[in-house]
Amino acid sequence: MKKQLEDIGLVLSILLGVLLTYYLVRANIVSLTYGNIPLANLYLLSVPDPSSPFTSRSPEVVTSVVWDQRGYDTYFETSVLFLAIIGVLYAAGSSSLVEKGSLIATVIPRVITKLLFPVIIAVAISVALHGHLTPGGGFQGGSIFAVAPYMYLLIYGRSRLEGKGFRSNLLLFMRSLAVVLISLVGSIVLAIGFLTGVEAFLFQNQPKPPFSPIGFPAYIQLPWGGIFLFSGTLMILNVLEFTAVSTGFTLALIVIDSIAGGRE
Amino acid sequence: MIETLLFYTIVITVGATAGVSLYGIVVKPHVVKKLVLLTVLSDAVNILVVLFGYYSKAVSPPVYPGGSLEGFVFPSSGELWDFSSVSVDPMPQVLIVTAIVIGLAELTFLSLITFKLGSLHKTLMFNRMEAEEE
Repeated sequence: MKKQLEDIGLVLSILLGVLLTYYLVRANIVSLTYGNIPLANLYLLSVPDPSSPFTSRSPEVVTSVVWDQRGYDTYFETSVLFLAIIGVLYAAGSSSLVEKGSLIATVIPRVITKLLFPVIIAVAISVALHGHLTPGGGFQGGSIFAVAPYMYLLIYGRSRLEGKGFRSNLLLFMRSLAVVLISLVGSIVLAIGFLTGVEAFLFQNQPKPPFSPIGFPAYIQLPWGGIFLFSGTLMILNVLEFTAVSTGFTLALIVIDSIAGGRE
Repeated sequence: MIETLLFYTIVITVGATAGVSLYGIVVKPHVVKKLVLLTVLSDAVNILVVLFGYYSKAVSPPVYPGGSLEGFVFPSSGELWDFSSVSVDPMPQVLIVTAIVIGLAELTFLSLITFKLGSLHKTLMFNRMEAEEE
């Protein structure tokens, strides 16, 4: 009787999900023929266009919206991750951070981990550094980076990972430093505007001609010719966010691994 | 025709997955099962949100082609209109980039609480915990 009730509940919940998507299709929210909404066109047209006041001088619209148009919001989303990790560290306590005996993995995972470790880190850094030019950015690069220490943690255990420099205190320090620097970079234009008496905004990137005449430069002229494009705050914040997310994830994985007993 | 069929198959599959995971979160008594189904639900919703921005003519990600660290030829207004008519909507992607990171933060915290619950009650089944209290 209970088993049949559970089956009926399962079927009803599947029907509920299908009805939800049917509503989304009927309301033209999920549609193949309906083009972009005006808000999407506003971003797609104004972000790469240097003559628009809302430009970021970057071809990548997603990263621009994350760090320029919506930068204040993203800062607090970074803070949520930071606070979650602080909460985990506090609740875990220091007494439970002892390593249990570790199992030696076979030769195939050990060799593959050694080979893939530098490759994953190189891909992660590339994704983060080109965040203002190609799909990707600080969040994505940091998430890719966290795979490398986690593989190492699973195959070799925590003491070997700490021998490679991934110590909890250092990771926590880097994490906190990155969050502080993000807020500093976000408020530097506002501080200059306050001191010189012109209008400026929090997390402002480029100058916005009718509203605010100051801002970060989009590129610098190199002394040997040519330019280096970094799109104002976008590249700086991507690198800082990469540091924050990668160290935060690594720290969380180390703590979860240690409280769950490591490899038995 | 085949594209339409595939698109709506994906949409219905995602909806059904969301329904199943919601059912599991409510009904299954084991805490780890609830955690796994919570991540399945958030992934299903993320895919659904990405599908909001897709349409048949969209062949390009929301990145104007040709950017490099050595410079970028900023496009004119006409070129940007052409680009915006073939590019997907960037806003859903912006929303899920941060949603994934927040989801992992939440999962880390919940797994710690699960561990504490398990060491306190010696079980992770909610019905047995309730029986223990009575």
